Amino acid sequence: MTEFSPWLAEHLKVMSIWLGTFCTLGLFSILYRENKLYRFFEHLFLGISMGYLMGNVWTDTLRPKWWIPLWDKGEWWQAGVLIFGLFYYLIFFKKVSWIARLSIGFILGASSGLAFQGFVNDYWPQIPTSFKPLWPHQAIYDKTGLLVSKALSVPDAINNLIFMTILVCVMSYFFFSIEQNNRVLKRSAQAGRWMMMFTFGAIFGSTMMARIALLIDRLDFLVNDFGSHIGGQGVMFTLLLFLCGAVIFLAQRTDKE
Amino acid sequence: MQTRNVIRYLNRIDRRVLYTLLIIAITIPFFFTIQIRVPISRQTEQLYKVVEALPQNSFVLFGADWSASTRGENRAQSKALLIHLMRKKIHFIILCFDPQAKTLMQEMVTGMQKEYGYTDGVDWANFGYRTDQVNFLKGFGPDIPTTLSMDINGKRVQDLPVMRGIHTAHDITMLINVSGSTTTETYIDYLQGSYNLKMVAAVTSVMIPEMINRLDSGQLVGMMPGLQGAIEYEQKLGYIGKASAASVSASVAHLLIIALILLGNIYTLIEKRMSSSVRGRN
Amino acid sequence: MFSNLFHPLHGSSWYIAILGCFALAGILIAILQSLPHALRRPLIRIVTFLGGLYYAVEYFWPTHSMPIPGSPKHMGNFLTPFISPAANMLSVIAGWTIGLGTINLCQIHGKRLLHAKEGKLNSLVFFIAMIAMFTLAVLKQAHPNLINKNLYMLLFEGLYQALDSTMFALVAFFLVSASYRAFRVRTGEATLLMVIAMVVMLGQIALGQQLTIHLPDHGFWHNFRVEIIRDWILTKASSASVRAIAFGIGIGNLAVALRVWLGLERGAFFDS
Repeated sequence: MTEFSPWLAEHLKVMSIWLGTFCTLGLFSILYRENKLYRFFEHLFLGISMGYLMGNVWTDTLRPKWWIPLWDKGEWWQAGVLIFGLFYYLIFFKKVSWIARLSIGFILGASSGLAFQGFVNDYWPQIPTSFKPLWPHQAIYDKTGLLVSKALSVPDAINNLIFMTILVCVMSYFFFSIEQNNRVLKRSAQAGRWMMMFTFGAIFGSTMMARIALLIDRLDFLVNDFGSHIGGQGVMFTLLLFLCGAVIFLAQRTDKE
Repeated sequence: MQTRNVIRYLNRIDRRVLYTLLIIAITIPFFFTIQIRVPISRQTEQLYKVVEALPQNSFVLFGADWSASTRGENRAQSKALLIHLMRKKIHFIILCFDPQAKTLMQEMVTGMQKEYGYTDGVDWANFGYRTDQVNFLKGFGPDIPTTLSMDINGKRVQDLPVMRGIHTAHDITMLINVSGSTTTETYIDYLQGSYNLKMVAAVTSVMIPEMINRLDSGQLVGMMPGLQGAIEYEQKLGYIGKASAASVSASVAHLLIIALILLGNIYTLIEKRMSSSVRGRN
Repeated sequence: MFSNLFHPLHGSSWYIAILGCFALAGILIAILQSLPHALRRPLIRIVTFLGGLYYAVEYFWPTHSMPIPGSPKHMGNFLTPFISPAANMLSVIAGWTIGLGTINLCQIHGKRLLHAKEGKLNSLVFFIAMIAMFTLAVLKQAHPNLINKNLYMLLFEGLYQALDSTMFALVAFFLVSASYRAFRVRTGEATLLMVIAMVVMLGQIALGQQLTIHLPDHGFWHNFRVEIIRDWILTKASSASVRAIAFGIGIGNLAVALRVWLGLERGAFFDS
């Protein structure tokens, strides 16, 4: 053990990089087709993430907030919190499973009670800022010289008009309380549909960056971090290209068969 | 006939060929050290100004809610913000509602603290991962020491010099949230809104359209929009980090996707015209 | 009397108190079990209502100045002092629920292992990985020696980080394939979606921004810079739609919360 510890400390980085590479390539194997290697790493991922979550719930929440007060400080009533939590597990016993609903109901109720604050803090500040000024004007100051309203240029006023029109149109699209027979409402809802397509385009474009950034991170790891351990970026890049070529070749051969 | 062959080829192109193209598009730029200066967006500029304006005795709550699944963007964002805070010698504490963030942030700050003369517990502290963000924040606002109780090293809040004088959310100068999930909204709902806290967020690109509304309404006073925001922030700070290094790869990959969308549509259009002309002849 | 009851205990009295709690829980379960079936549903509704009552009343009840140590400007009402203990208790209870998912997964993989079904090796891997990671996460804090820390970091960095980020990075490949095969401009709406997506993509990359970098920094032509167009799309046009959709979601959420709280919600939880 005494020899293992310094050895592990010395080789930790290299071992992490090799393990990481196997895991990355193992999961990338799904790009070829469904296979056993991918399933293996998928289960490894599931196990590791579950173990990590359980461990951290204990070390960061249950230990400091429940175990230490109960065991070290003698706060015996913390046992009640455990019992309340254990009521959830009655769900696994058919005869008394309904009692678990009392715990679940209590937490559901608490979440519902909190929803009012969430709604007010989240949406109320957005309501007044949805009513934007539409008439261009100079900056307005009060008698003491304090700025009351910022200057509004003509382009800004047009932008505000566009904003408010889109807001109303999209809201009218979701107006299901009455049948949309009215011509104005119908047209407005139709325009709202177009505006949502516009928005979905913007969201799609943004999403692309998020996903690409992740892949860059992984390929950076393979080519730069792992590459430096096997003779340089060029070697890993060539190896990657070889793997891609092999996958394409295998895929075409199986397609022909 | 030749056009038909090309169309047939484009129609049957194997998806693995597309994957290979993407890998090449991303990895080729790794061999070159190209730095392209980018225009700074309004959101990033605003965020930079807000952090820059923090007085030296400020206390920042750094909410890190990201994991490996969003680290392509969030890691660079976190690092850029930490550099800015540490350059200004601002005290901060880390709080995570994603279990991975705890270890990732600990590694990151531990790696940086020597350079900026920071000491764990004195200038910063990591309070690790907490379950149930909503209830946690409800308790956190009125009573920070009891709710936090101890840091990830097992030190009690009372024994941490960085926590001296911090009792309620009113004592927090600014809340920074680097997030890849809905934790930013929850922070707004149960902490920022209730205590009128100055809050900024560094979010993934997917979250930009949603968060822009929070910026417009004043709930957020600054925002770092995705990887591009991180690139801009690194440029403002004058250092080349992970985001700047990924800039060209991200560009080439985007251009490839745009080209593929266009190509897919062009060949469908030609194919449609050809089939309609054949039908017309028949 | 109430504050005397909640007094920390040590030694044998602590054990007696804990045993007492469990005995009370047993009695409570026996009483609940003896309740007629017709009473169970109303009881669940009452408990759900009581669960939400504290936070709702605390939020709506008028507040007044309530100075607390270190915060003289603190506002609150008679229920505010209990927020912190209640929130702590609820977040600990949330911590306990992690076991529900774990038991479920163990049941599935345990059955596969015991009955030697297909994929048993994978289930074994699941168990080994879960136990190893859990043990090291706990040991790292309980005995923070070099070996525990390094083994933990090996699993965290070598396995968890690589697996998690790769799993999500795979989406990029599928997006590329979908962009080529499925992104077709068959209708006007689809065309609009595609054009906007392309402009946003161009506006958020360094090379895209270089296309219009030579346009002036100010004046009319400045508006035609690709990053300015992207900014306009995101801050002026699409944000209005997102806000309208968000308002709908917010009101919907509030309505559902109200229905759950008042026990008006129908479905598996309240009905069966």
